[in-house]
Amino acid sequence: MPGFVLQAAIEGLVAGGIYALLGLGFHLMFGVLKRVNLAYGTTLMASVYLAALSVNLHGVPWPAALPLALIIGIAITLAVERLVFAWVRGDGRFSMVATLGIWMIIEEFLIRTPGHGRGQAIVNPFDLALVSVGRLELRVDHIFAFVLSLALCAGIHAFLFHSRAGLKIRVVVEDRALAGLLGIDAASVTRWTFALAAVIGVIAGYVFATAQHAIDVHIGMWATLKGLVILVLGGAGNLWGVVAAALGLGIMERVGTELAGPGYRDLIGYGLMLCLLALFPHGFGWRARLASG
Amino acid sequence: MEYGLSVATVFSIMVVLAMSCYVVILAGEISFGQHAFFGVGAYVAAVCTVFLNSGLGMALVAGTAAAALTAYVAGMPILRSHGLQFTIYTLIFAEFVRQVMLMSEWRVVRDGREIGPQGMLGFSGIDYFFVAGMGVIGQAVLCGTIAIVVVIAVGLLRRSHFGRTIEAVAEDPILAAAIGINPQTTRLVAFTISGGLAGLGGGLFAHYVTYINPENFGLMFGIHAVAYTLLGGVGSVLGPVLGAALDIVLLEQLRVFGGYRMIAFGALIVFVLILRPSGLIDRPLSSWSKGLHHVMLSKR
Repeated sequence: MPGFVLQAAIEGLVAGGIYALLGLGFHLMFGVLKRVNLAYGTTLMASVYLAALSVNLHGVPWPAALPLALIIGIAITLAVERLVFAWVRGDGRFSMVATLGIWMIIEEFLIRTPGHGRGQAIVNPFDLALVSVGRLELRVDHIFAFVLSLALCAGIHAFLFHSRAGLKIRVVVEDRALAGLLGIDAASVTRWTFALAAVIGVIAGYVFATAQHAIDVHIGMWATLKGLVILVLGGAGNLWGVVAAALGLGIMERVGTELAGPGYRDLIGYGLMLCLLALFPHGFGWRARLASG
Repeated sequence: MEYGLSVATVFSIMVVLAMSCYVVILAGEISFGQHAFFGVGAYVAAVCTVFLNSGLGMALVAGTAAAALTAYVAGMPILRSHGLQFTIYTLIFAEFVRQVMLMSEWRVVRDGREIGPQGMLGFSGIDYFFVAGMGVIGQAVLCGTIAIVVVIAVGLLRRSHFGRTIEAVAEDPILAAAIGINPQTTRLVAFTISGGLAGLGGGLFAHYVTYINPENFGLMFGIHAVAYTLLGGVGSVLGPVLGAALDIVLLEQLRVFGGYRMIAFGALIVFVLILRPSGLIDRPLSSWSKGLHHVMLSKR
């Protein structure tokens, strides 16, 4: 394998780590409610954006940016959960359209902030430091991002499968009505799950934006679409399926870009998705889960 | 006066797009991808008038046909899914189409300047209306007439035998199949019609704005059309028209909320969906079962 392909594959792995976190956020929210939150990407973008704005404009020290972003993200996500998912009745598509209403509100609000929706610089403690491994050049912040995302995935897995709270979430995912019979407060579990999804998403967004040295409003749409693609590709009810789909997509996009030329990254990603859809219309076991939504 | 006419033109174009969403909703699905067909129609119609020097009529027909064909081809795999899954697939498909537009490039030199689509920089110089000497009034009359024809046609379609068939499939595909309707074919035909309608709107849009670029055909745009339909309600063909009027006339053009249009519109969507999930003009409660009844009777 030529060196540049390997280099690209490793860089793709880094993007894949971020995709995995976004996909996990969608996966958790979809799991407990069988509903899709299309405002997710925008929510986490807005949290990171507002945190970056307060660092740049109001002199908040930058280490406080991530906690601030987390607080904003959890607050917005819980508000969305209440407004859209608890209050909009009927089938899942109506609340999906309603999340788009929230999306519009958030984006317009950001344009009305003193930042006017323009890109905000974010402090990157690693700057552009490189390490060389053989003939490969790796950015330290990329390595950090990758290790962090895998660690988070493992942490969530441990939480879901080896803790009492995680067990409650799994019961609600399996069957909401059954959870009620077992004395589990499904509404409260849902709120906690949404908060967890917000935490994962904001961390993913923050790490991604840090690697870019800036955040702008377009990240919201991007994050939503990537997370959604991962949800569809990997949502086999299995957390590692999500991670595998995310890493695979990240690598294929990056290597494909290397071979086909710049600008083809998203074309490859969505094209791949559509090919899989045409080849395996009945999916990889996730069909029943998605269709039940 | 001129301003009022341009509002009417934009409104008419959006009504055509909303109608295309409405046809999909009649078939029981919500599509987040109609803006892709709208974009295909816009690009193809623009290529016709700019490169092939065809008339506007031919260009609109070509745009409509291309979009309908795209919907037919895309519909074959996508329509195997239902509900939420269908909605997500249409969304991903539309994003794919937008990425294709971003990479499409076809430049030719004419009269000393380069014209044609240029990837993310868009496609400028779609000056048919200008060259043909068609002013603001002519454009408004043309788009308005087409919108009225489309609304009436969709209204008639809904009352026709095929309309009843579509509603029967939307209500219960298995029951519909049991009385000899092929649900898949019915859905595919409905989806193709909706693609064609979106393409027609796109052709008008391209010539009205004279400059299109892939950013025009993003998810946000498609969502507006879906939101018009859900806001206005699916009870009548006038529902989507009402939804479009609320957004375009009140919020975008008259600016009753000043610059906070998107916040107002987003909040409106959320509140209507909370308070009245079937939209402002509700479907008469018995109509779906009536549709099925009608089909069953006429089959005997």
